[in-house]
Amino acid sequence: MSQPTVEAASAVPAEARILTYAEALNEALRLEMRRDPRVFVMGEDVAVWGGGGVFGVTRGLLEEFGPQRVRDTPISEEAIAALAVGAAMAGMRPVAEFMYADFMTLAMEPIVNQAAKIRYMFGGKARVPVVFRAQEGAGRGNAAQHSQSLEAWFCHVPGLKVVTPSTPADAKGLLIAAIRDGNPVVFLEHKVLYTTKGPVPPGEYTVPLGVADCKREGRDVTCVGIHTMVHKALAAAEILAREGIELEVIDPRTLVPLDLDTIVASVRKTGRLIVTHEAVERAGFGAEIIAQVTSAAFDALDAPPVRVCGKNVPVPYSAPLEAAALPQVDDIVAAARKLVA
Amino acid sequence: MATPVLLPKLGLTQDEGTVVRWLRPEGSRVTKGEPLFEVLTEKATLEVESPATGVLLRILVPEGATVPVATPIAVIGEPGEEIPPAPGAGVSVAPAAGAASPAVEGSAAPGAPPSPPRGRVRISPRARALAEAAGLDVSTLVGTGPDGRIVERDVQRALEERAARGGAAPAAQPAPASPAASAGVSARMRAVIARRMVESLRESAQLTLTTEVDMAEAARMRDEVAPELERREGVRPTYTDLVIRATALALREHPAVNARWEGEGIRRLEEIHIGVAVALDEGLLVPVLRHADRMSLAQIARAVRELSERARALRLRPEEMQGSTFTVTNLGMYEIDAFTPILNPPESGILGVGRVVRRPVAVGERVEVRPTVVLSLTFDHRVVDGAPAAQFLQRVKHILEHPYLLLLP
Repeated sequence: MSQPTVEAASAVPAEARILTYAEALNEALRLEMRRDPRVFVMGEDVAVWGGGGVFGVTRGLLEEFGPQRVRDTPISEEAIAALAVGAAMAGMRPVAEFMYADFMTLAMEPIVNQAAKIRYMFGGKARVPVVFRAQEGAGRGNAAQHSQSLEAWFCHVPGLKVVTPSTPADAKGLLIAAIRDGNPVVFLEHKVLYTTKGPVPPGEYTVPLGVADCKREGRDVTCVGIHTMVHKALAAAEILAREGIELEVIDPRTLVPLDLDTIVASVRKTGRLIVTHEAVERAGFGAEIIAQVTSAAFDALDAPPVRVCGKNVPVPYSAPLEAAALPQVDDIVAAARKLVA
Repeated sequence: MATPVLLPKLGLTQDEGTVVRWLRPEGSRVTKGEPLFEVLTEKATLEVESPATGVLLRILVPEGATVPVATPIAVIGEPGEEIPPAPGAGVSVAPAAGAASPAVEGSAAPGAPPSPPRGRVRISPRARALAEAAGLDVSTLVGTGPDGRIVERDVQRALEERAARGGAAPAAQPAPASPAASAGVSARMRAVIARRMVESLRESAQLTLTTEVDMAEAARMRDEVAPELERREGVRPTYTDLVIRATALALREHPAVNARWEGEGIRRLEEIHIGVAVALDEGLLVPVLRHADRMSLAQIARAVRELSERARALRLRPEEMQGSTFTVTNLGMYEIDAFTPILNPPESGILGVGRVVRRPVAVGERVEVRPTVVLSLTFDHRVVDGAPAAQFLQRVKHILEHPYLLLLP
């Protein structure tokens, strides 16, 4: 399948090493667990079984931190989420892993009704500093129940922060920021991105939640992409550049809080907006971005904003059909050409 | 309740108009729907009906004065009724023609009579904001964006053109008073022609093919048919009429030429509407023969004569100058043999007709003196390639050299 190969991250120092997205996340967990004894990880197969998670993000943590802080759980997403909420309220800093974001649907009660509401309902006297990690997305032939992108579900719940890193460097810095945040953070990784590589600065650093990153500058069209679509947008930008069309690629990095200012500044420059994500178009987060940009910068728009998103269907198992259901590089190229026509 | 009579917006790009003639005097009784006055727009003079029944209490804008669209120009009411003050803070437009200055602000002032509903202008918010900041009337712009929407670049282009003309914002220009009306229409028409011609050369890939046509047979046919047609139908077909008929027939057989470039591809047009360029002292108008391929030679002759007369009197309706798919233009009367006409956008073809003149022609091994004409076809290479364009021109030539084909349905 079309795995992104672009290795891009902004402003990385010279001593940065090339790591995979999974290795960068592993490094973030390791550094935070060394720094803060309250931090622990839990989830299905994160410790013994599977040897560090199905994608290897927790690999080696059991050996370094022991079974008290690296805990396998039963196959019950509700239990994982509820235990993490309770531990967080009791003063721990749990990082709870869901093997597939699809099955966070089983854990919505503790996440939506408990984690998101407790600080508010107790007048700030209780806090829930928990990170719910999961991977979402399609592109690996995992079919309809293991390929969804459900970030919009969580964005709809006041009290949750939602993070969607697209590069190894961002993944590490954002995860450290999420663990230190003090509020419930839904940290959504992407299964196709785990093996992608990029320069990652050594040591502790944070990428603040709520700060978007311009992955490529351009004059003609703003393209806001999430997860893999950042890389597809960068590939589209290469093709468009040969035609003299400059695509500016913005990665919001966190959807809640959303860095609207950076997106609006870009749209004020280009006058044209594409929003692209794998999640189905209908009621997807792209609609939210477009609505906010339209309200904030109606006068800046030179064309109606366009969504390049997943089709409104379950993700098919068949590889050609899966590719057809997902937004592709060519779709972004075509949308940009039409916008500047 | 007195009803204001507003200067109507009659064309998409019209921003002002000149009151040519009041058809009813002040104080006369008028009926809703009866012709009340004549207005001169960018390219034509039109009769406008009274919007209400009552007495024409006051004429606010005299004949010859040019005012912005939606300016109150008269008041209709009942005798003794109070005439509402003209909007625009003390600008009395009444008989003093020189006072007909920018009432355009007034039309937006509170308490002003409601403007007639403006035609919806398709324009992006960004383009609108830019135009408003620069004081540019968006209704004068031509959109090049998707679905013909006015986008930022269209406003930028208009601003560049305005800067190039050294012109200030339109609102700052004093409206010309009476005798200057014809200078006004001339300047506006000039601006339209200037914009469209440069746009044509910039936006399309034009080149011109020429061919010489032996008109001996056509001349013979015309000489035989013309007196009969004149007796029966009251019209004499000209050489231009013959060329138009031949062009319409050839277009039917060569639909590739009856097409236009639309952003990402070629659109072939089902209908054949031929524009006929008519020269005026002030400029140029192109009235349109709709469904020219379905018109007989006599119908073409009559329509061309009627439309050109009204064009010269500036009395064409806007819709009579729109929608052509191909244009025929003739400079033969000025002893021109061949030329390179400029496409009339968004058309893909224009046929230039030179003079019909007697020239020595090789006929077999002999030289004969025969009437010939040079036809110059400019076409858009984005839409048509050289060979099919040449075949089309060849077909026009063939029909004219076998002119009885012109009489077939």
